[in-house]
Amino acid sequence: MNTRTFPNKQCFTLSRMPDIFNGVKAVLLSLTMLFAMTGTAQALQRGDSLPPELAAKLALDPEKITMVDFFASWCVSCRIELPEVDHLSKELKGESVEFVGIQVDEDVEVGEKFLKEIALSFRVIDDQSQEVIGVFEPIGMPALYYIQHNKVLGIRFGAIPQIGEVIKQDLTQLGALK
Amino acid sequence: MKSHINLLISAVVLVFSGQVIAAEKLTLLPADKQMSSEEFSYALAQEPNPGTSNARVVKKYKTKGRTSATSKYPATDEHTEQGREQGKSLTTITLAEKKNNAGNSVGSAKQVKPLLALVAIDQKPPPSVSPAGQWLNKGFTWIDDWFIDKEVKPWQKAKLAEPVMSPAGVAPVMKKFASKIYISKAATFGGDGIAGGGCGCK
Repeated sequence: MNTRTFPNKQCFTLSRMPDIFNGVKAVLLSLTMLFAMTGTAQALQRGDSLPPELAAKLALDPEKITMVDFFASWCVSCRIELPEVDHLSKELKGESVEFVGIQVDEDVEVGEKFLKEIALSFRVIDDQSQEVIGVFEPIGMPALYYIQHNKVLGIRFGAIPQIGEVIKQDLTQLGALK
Repeated sequence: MKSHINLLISAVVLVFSGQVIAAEKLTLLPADKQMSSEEFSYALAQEPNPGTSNARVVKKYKTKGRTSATSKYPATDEHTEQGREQGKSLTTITLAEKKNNAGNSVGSAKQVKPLLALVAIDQKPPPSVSPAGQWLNKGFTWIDDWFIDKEVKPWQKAKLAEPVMSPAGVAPVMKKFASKIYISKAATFGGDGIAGGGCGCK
């Protein structure tokens, strides 16, 4: 075979794909795109409603404004903030405000030990499987969500100094406190 | 003889090149504003030095940090009738606006900024990306899922939060080194100690 002339014109003409395959390719591509456009889960933002399954799992009082606090034993800011939040929950016991903690520790033993250590007075939901926080998808820890009628009214992320005062201000702004 | 021929050739070349340049300049002007060669030569002679042209001086003045000062002066030309009319219309509008807003401006109080952005609770916050960007984000996230490693979510950092996972591990020497870097970086705020510029006043 003469290598200088290879690949020759005939070679290209033989390997060319028939036009019908181009059409099939286009249809497959468009189908893939349509499949992709069906959408993926998004993080809960202010104004969003909780999915019904999640609302049933959390069992929040719809009339009260609930402050949902996500925490973990390894989160240093949570450790600092939790005693203050606990103190505030005791202070606002008679008000139309509810406090719910959600522990997202994957290790059960560590989580239980931490709960005993801090001894919170409000209700704590164990989210070892991280299904609940997977729906909320906060961008940082600790994460505070204000919820009423299964609707997110406000969000606060990260370490906040004097968290008790900040929560009080938020609740006043939301109309839960006078 | 050769030098004479060279001179003649160079003179012809110069003349032709000059004509070509002049022709190029003329073609740049619109047809009704094209000048004859005599007018053109006169215009070239009368053209001011570009270093002191009016436009350049104005530009220099404006770019000297006085743009705010120049904006105080009237935008209309007071030396022409058209300009005077424009100026009049502008003043009447501003006066009318002042009359309308007079009552409100007296009794208006300063608006206090809320601490938390919870003002419009029933409304969703405005999206940070355009609708086209949202559509693309929604449509192409599956590429991330298939080809890019799964990112660690903020609530999955139990292992990363352990002391062993710090950049230098648990070695005390490295801790000292890290603290040295921290103090150097945050020296103006005091680092680990007291803030100060070395004057001994603190």
